Amino acid sequence: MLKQLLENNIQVVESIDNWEEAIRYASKPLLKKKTIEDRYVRSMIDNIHELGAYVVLMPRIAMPHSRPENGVNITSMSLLKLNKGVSFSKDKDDINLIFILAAGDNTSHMDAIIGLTDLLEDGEKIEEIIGAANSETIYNLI
Amino acid sequence: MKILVMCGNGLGSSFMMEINVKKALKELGKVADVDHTDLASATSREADIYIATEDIMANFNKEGVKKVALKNIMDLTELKEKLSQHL
Repeated sequence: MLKQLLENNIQVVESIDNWEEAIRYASKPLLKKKTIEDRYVRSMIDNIHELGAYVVLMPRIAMPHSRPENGVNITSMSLLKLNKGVSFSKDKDDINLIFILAAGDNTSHMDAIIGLTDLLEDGEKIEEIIGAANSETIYNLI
Repeated sequence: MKILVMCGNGLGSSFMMEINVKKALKELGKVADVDHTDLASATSREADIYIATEDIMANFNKEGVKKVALKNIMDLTELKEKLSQHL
């Protein structure tokens, strides 16, 4: 399910100045497909201002998200890979992989989260994804 | 024993942590009820142990309860080490 959700929603960029811009950029494929609304992007950013960078799951990887009622039309995900990491918090390592999670309700995203948890446990694969040259390579690695 | 895992929204990172807490308990040979929720709801829910990332735990004001604050939610070693102190 993780792979299906990420199909055509993976982007690779050299660098982005700050984490807010990175979240906006990472959300582009979902905004284009209208699976989320602009206000969902703002809500993800506001959440981090309010509660800190808890969306940083582990070194180099973040999963920004908010709640279904804050502008999700359809459960969806996107991935932005930054060749040069961006800082989400001065206390944490820079982030190379940004997984945008948009949950349409409280349960329909759970299979994707289980899939993502398995993926994140595979350190070698994560290294390969971070080192990948383009989105097709990343899609095939997932 | 009841363990409550919290994140800002109660559906993304907390669910991921719940998966890992269940794995950690299994590896430690312990049994507990594990559930995940958002920070706002967690205050009014009773549990024996509350788990969250450090950022979220800094915003959790419930006193007199056992708390586990994690740096890296995917690090099972950190989780097992911190959790086992309360089991």
